[in-house]
Amino acid sequence: MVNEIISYPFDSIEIIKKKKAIKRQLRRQDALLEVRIAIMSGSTVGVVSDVLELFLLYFGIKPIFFIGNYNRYYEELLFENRELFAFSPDIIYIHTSIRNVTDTFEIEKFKVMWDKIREVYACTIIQNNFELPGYYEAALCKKINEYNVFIADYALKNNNFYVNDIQFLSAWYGLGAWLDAQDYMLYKYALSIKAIPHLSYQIAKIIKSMYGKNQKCLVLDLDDTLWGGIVGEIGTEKIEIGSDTALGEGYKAFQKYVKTLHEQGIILAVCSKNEEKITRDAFNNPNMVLSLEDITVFCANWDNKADNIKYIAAQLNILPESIVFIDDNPAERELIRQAIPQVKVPEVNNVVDFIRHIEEAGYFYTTRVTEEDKKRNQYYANEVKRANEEELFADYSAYLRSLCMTSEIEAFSWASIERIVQLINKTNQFNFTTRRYSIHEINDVMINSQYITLYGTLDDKFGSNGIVSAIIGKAQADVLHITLWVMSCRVFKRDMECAMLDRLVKMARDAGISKIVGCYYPSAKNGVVRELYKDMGFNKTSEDESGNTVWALHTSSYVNKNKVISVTRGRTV
Amino acid sequence: MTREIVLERMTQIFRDIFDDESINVVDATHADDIEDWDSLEHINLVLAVEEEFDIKFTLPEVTDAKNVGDIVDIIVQRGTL
Repeated sequence: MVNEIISYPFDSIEIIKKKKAIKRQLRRQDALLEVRIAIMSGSTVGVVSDVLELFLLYFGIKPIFFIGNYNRYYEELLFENRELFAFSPDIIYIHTSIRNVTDTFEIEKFKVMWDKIREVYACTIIQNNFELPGYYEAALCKKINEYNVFIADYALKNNNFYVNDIQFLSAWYGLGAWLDAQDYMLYKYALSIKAIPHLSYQIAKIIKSMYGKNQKCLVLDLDDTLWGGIVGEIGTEKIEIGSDTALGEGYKAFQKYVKTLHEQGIILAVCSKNEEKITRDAFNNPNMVLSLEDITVFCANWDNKADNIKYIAAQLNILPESIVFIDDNPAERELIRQAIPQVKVPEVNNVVDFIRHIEEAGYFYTTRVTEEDKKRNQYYANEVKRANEEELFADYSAYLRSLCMTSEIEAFSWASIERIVQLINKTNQFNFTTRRYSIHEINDVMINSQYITLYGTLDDKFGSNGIVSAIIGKAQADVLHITLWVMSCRVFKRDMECAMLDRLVKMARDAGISKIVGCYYPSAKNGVVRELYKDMGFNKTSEDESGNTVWALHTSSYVNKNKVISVTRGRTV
Repeated sequence: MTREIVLERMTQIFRDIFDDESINVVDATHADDIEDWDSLEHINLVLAVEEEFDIKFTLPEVTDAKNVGDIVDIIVQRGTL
């Protein structure tokens, strides 16, 4: 019920009206990621932060807010601000608008303010650009455009600075409806209250994308979704795709869009009720933009689509909530919604609406494409190749040896920190404590000699997986407490955890530590590691009624476990 | 539209906004009667009532209304249903 109100396309008034009940229900989820957000005011922010909280909760993020005083953003950011400093924000969002463009306004002052934030708070900045004025004034419009270029330039040159593009959003919404004079005069809201949920949603999209909460995989139907017509009936030559017909143009545009997503690291899969051979042949149609190589898992058969989507998730080892399913058939969409409610199923019937809907919902919203994102498809394609090879081996360890795996296991370094933070904050399954760390906290851990940190990469004959595991341990006397251990689901069952533990024990021994203690805190998603400490030779020392368990391992009697991965010294960084 | 019907629909709006099914509003209900009725929720109430009855209050109407009854008067006068 809550999902229906809050998922895109949402009903703004319903959200504002029922926000208390929605918040109550969304806060019941477990494993929420806490993010500290300071909202600095250029105009009233009440509804902005209230609705932002709902969308973030919906995306699995629990915001802790600091709310600046009304229209004091500049002074509060430029001058010493003990409260804000003590709050220690992960993000500062600056909610300014055309209402702040007074006669004395100078955009250069914003740069002074941003530089100051970076120096004092070293956190991410989200800055609104400016919407155009409510009635045409040539000189002011020109100025606004110059200001927006100034803001965009700063974003290009500086990391961790994101533009919340309200010039676009207000145009999309309708500038006349966006700028509500009465809401400004009465309550000092810069924009119409009805438009605020759209503003909050756009901010939430930026934040969830920063914290790796995007969807990862697009599952596509074929007939009347990727091309027009039923290929099984009309044949591969007659399907509508390409510039010959209006509809064919529509499918071509959609395929181009999907191809772009693929290049940004989104995994593609096909789920179609069809004969496999003819659908594969259809990709030889010369007008086709997508090729078979772009599709990592291909399910064209007569099975139930819910079973196929579960199969796709299992093949890729991803959770159903990472999947977006596009199908022109409302009955199939409804089936998936009922059978696997975590899958995102946009309610779109017609190819002309697909792109706009996917973009507006922001399933794959990117602030910046990382190197990691670009490589992701290769990882998953390799994973499917590995799975095929695995079937050739009767003995699993023989299979693992055949992969010729190599790993580099080292203490956290500045060069690896971005990927480590991303890994820590997006890993839900192989994650003993679901403890999240901001980049600040990781910095603190790295410079504190009480902590032992390790990251591990994993490569094999099919390719590189990059950094796939991270451990943080805190030493107290001769005991090391593992506060965090995560591993990417891409490398489950490869004995990577053994290689990590071997190195951890060695480092602990070298530091004179006799005992390693690890905790398991159950969440909805980390059942896969419930018994893992036991399997690795730890003894259970306690368990409470919620299923939290504590495990201990003596380093003196530990025997190395990894026999299949060759561990090398790290690159010097 | 009768005052009873308007009050009934207003009651539902209040219940949604304050997330409290026990609320029943009458003409005399005003901000002091409901604990969470602060300036922020007041704005949300105005917006929700406008949507429910498909009207837009004028600036003086918003600033002059002292209790629920004043709002009901405006809705009944405008005669929208």
